[in-house]
Amino acid sequence: MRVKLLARYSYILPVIIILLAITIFPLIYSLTLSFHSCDLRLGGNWIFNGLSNYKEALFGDARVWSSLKNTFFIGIPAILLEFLIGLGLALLLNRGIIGKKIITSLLILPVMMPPIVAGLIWRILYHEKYGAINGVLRSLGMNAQFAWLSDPKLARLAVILTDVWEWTPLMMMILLAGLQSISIESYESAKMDGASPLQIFGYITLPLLKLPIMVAILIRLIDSIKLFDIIFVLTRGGPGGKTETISYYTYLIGFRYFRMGYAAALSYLLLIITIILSILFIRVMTRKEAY
Amino acid sequence: MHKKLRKVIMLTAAFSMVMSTYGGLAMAAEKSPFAGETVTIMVHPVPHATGIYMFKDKFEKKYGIKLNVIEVPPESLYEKAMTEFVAESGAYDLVDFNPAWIADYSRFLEPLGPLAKRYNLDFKLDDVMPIFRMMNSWAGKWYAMPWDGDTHMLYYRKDIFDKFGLKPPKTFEDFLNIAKFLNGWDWDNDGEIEYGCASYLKRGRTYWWFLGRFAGYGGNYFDKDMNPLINTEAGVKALKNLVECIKYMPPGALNYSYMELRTAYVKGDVPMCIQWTCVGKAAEDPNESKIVGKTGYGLYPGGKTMIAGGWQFGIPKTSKHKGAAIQCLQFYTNPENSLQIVMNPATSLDPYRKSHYRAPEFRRAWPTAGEYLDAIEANLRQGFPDLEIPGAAEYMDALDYELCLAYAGEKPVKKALDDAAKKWNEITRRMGKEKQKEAWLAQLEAMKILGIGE
Repeated sequence: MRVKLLARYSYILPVIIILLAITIFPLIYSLTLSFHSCDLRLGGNWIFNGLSNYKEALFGDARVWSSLKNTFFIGIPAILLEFLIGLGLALLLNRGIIGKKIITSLLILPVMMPPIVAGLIWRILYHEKYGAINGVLRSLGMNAQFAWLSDPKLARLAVILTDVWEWTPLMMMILLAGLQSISIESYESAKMDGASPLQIFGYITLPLLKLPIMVAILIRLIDSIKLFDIIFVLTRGGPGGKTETISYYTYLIGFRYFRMGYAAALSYLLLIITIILSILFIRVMTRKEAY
Repeated sequence: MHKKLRKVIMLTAAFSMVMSTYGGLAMAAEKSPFAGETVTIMVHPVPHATGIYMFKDKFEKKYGIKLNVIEVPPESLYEKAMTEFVAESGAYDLVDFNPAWIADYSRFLEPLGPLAKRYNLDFKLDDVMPIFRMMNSWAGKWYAMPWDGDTHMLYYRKDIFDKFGLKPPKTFEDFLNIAKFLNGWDWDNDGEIEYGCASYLKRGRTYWWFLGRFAGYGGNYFDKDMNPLINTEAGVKALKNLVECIKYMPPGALNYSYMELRTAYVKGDVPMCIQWTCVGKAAEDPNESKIVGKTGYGLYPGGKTMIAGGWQFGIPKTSKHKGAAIQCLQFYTNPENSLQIVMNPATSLDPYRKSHYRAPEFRRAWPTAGEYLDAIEANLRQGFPDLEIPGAAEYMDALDYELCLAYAGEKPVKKALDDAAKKWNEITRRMGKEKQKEAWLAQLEAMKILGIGE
């Protein structure tokens, strides 16, 4: 019996070892690091400093709060727009329009693009003088001199639009898959009962789509909190600090100032925020399901 | 007879070809004990890297050493190199870096003196301008060899200034007034609206455009007890002036970095700017410029010129090809090759050897090249160097962040500078005040010896 049990464990042992090595060890290592001061420029010695890094992040570093604020001011509108446009496109594609396959393939192109490439494309599009966006606006007769990436009033919007362009297709695909899994019988019986299209959408489509919506928004929420690459290419956190997100700031702390202990603490704070927001979101979504 | 003669000629030709090939190889192997090795260079991308490509074939042929050129975006050079240093990867044999980082890098770099001596290589250091020599040494040791001599200077449109009876600005108040006057109208009659001035305002390197002004108003980084002076009256005046100038810059100027600023000037969108010396060459290059022959070169307004010290190469301690690397470094920075590199407008690398400023070839490169070279030397004489103490990159980044907040109107000027000073104090405390003070006093002393930045 014991031999059998050992044999069984030995089958999963390689997986456990790999998991420990690539997931658990870095987690414990970085958590330990977050309680130390470790500056690679000064030799990289670990000096235990308890909760000092966390204290500094929460009470002594204004840039943490401003970058968190930016993360949400960029992330929330972006997710909302992605959801609304993604849902609209999914509903459209679910109706069986002509050229559906080609349209779907074209629509999902942005999501297949590396965010760095997307950022570079948009950086060119946003150029004040030579960019296509101002060019189109000028050809429409507007005196467009919009400094998309350097005007403090426009920079966040520019980042949001780039994010929406890149990630709406993901939202669309998840919601389209959800729509296609809803059985046709539900719609037919509602129609027989005389329900209007709006009623069908409100009472059948949306409730049955709740789980895909939750998954799609949750994926995007976690991604938005980690928003880094587009910022790195488009604005580097500027103008001023208008688009400096918490991930970008953590990167600067770790790889520009080489304060690895503090960077680890910031990463853990980010993880905690992500977990709390995810739990809250799941609770809100599932509470409604009880009705 | 005819056939015989042809045979002899062909045989002789074949023999000479074989001999020249083998002879060449033998010569390469003979000349360099490192033939067959590969030197990996981490370099600031094109246009800088063009300097390497210019002589790559010649170097490889001459020494039999291969060059593997890796271009890294300028904003990432510091972190990329530091990451490799800390990881002791030995990925690079030559790293291109800014003198301001020398205090952080020195721990990881091979001192060049003993290495040059071991391989009997003469870098003709007496020919390098003293300010640049100062900036590539740390704690009395020589760690890097410059291949670019960056200093700011004033560029202005001589034709436009003459047309309106304007004189090159001597102070930043003059600069502002001229910018106001020339902003928002078509002063060159090309059918387009022009602007008053432009500046590098993008996050990352804008601090240089502030520091020159700051020094001109009498500012310096710290006092002798390591207290920041950035938020003193000089700082406030300098930043107020810069923020005021933004009103007279082209739309989108807040996102201008080196290339956008260079383009705005050479395409004739602005009548004046403060830029690195390489822009003077670009302005005379008809492939790029719309204003060939129209540039005047001036002293930095305010009386102090920001000197970043250009870019320089060091050899990491972890390099496995130190001999080949120093051979390569000597080849690229010798007076003859370096002159060709700094003369080429496509490289955006600037003169740094005394012989560069005096080279008849360079002074004849375009009709006003002599004035250009003299203006660089004059600016160097009133230079204000980069901060060169441990953590300099972090001090500058903290300042840069606050400057950008002030540009964007997110913080009042004084508050932004106060916050920068607060952050500087925090960095000093974290890095160790006494150690930082010692490094700063050493820099002050070096500046004093050179008669600059006091």
